[in-house]
Amino acid sequence: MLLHIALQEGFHHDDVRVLVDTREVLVSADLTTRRQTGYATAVEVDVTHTPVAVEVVLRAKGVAQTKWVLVDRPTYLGVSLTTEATLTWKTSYEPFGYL
Amino acid sequence: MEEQDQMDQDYLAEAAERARPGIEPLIPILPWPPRVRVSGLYAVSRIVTSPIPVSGPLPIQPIPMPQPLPGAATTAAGPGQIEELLPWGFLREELRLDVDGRYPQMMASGTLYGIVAKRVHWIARLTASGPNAWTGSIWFKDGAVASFPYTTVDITTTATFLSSQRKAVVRLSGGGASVRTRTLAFKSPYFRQVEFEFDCATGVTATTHIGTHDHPNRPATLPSETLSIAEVYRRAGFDVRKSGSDSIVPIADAGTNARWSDNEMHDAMQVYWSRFAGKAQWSLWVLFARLHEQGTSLGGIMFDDIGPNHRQGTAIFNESFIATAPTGDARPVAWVERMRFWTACHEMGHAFNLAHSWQKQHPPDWGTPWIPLANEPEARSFMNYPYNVSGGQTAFFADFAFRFSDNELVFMRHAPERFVQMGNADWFDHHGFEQANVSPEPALKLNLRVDRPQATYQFLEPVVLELKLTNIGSRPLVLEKELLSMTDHMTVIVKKRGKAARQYMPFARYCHDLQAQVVMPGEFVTDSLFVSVGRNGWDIAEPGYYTIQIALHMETEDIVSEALTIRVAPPRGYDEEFLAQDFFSDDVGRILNFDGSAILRQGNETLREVSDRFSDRAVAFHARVALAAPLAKDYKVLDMGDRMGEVASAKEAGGRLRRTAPRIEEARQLYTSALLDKKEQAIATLGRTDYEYYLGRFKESLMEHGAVLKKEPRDAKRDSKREKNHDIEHTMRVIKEALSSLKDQESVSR
Repeated sequence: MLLHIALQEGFHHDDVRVLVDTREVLVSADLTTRRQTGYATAVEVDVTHTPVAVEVVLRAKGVAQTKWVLVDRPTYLGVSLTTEATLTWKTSYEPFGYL
Repeated sequence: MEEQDQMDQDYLAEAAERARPGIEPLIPILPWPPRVRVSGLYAVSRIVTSPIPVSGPLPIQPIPMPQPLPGAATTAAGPGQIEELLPWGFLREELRLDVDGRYPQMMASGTLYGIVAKRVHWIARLTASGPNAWTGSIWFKDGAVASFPYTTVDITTTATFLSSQRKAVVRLSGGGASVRTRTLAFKSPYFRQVEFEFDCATGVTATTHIGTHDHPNRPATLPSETLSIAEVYRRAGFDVRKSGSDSIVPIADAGTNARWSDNEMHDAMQVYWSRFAGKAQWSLWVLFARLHEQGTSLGGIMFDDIGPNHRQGTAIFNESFIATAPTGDARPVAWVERMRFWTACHEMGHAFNLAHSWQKQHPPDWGTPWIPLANEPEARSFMNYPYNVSGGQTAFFADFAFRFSDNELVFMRHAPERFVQMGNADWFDHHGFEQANVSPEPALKLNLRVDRPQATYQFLEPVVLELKLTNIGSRPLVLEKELLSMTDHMTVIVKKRGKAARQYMPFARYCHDLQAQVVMPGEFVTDSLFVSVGRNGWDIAEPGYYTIQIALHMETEDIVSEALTIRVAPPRGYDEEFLAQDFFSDDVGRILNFDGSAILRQGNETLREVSDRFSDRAVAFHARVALAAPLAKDYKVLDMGDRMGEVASAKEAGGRLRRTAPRIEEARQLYTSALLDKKEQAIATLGRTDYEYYLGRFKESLMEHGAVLKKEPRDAKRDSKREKNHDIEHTMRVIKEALSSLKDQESVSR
């Protein structure tokens, strides 16, 4: 089943790792949000069970958070970094759109 | 006249809306008595006479101040007030009054262009203080704020249907300054002017109009009308014009995958946009295309954060997710049209430097907002995402009036021009390099040049530029005498090939007494700029190619030079490479910049080594003039005794000024070898302007130390003329004569 993970708002030259069930699915040493769209990058993962643990790590900022996500249908997970260096998660069953 | 017509139409439309909100009126019902809309742009610009006596008549004539209309508020200064008059130069002043019409923000903003780059921008929040009168506190200032102490503004307008007779009297007070009163003439019902150009990729249609009632999910009070993108921005306060003819951009320009990358769009913009130019201008290109290379998830983008002039181009992708109406939507076709229209207005908003509604607060390293703003995640604005608000896009459009939020309108109408204008401040950052406000018909031209056939410099050789500012217009200009040496009016950019550009930061800013000079058409002023090293360290040191460009910030425009490329050659050998470690130091930089120091001993030792070991190299000329200067005259040094180097006041430390005696013979030798022995080489490396200056200092030093010149009375007038004409040969002859006179005196005394 499709799990689309989009890194969205708040990233600024960040060293980011994304893991799904401890498997590294995305590594970026210098990730920056394109502010006119609110989009940084995305990765699509084929998962075979549900729920899965999605972990996002920004080592330099001391951020490491995990979210359990149900993936019983194509699922879109948006992850943003707040100004307080915490992550916000948004789950959708429709693809994200950027403008 | 067109503006007046537009204003009248606005007035009728507004009156209709007020009378029957949400219902299309058959006959507009006008308010009575009819009121005159006063919001818009007011301006005054004038030229005043020069106080400098100039031989011959100048075609500059004073233009009288606009006089108040009978019955209008007076502009005459009252008791204790002064009507400020600038003594000379140009003056332009603008007022944007925003108290009625569409979405009034009860704000006023003004821009004052004073003498030589003294530009001040202010914004005040207003409350009505009487019929056609408003008062308010100034809450934002930008530019040369030190010269603008005012805290309060009072504005009175003359209410007349004749726009040509409409005036605003602006009275600025507070801040301990005398009251300043100005009368400005009405120029436009809009605050700013902008032009749009809509181009389409092959097979794509631009959605530039929409029927506001085409989709049933809308505010009950929304007037039914055919709304255009141009009208959306007119209501935001812009006099919208169309540029060029709408072109078809061949799909082949999007590459083999037929999807557009940002670079492909940027390339297309350069080819198809009739207004494309590498400068800031109130002009925007909009491309309607099928898809971005990111795919259907990208509905549109302000793609232009490429190169030095951002925010000039946007694109809307008609076949992206915005082409898919929600399942079960009552009018899917209308939904899609509305979404395309909305997306176009949204992306164009980014080109006005508007961020998304939820991005107004952000970390400092993203760039500083022009004023601290609150996020508006629920705003029914073009800059929000419809599907991000509570209740999703249905809730959004049920309450959306096809407008920007009040904060956004304040920004677009009243923020300093460089924050908003396309191609000016970098996207999302008003603190980016301020792009030049270049006039299409500049009256001045700034040239950068070097005194050598090829702009190649030896390793270690400091770079001295010659600046030449020429009056290329047809009228005489009054310029500040020291304009080219006032580096605070310049932005100097030095870019080494393959590295980021750096802004040259001079060690010192010089304050000069304001003295004007008249520069006739074809005449020019010159000066030099020692650009190798400043507070940033050595901007030009390593071998390689460097590009240098200067923007001279004048009162109403910027004069930007052509870029000059220079090359620094590699070191001649190991010795130069080794000495470079000491040479490219702060001490040496300061000594060279200030033409000598008696204090910076380490730096002086390095320069002595340069002078001795590399006597045939260009850098030796610089070393010698810098070493000679402090030796050529009495030199005062602040002696702090044992507390030298401590942070303490001179008084606390018992400091006293100590005089060091000149070592004139040593100075004479250094100056002679730097300036007289190899004249052409000296001019090439020191630059003609500085060479003349050093010659003058050398001559002064000789005269101070007893040189006597045999001069017939009839020669005095001729010599004075030669000196005035910067006759180098003449000065050299004088110096040689002075040297010889000193030699004669020495032999006599022996």
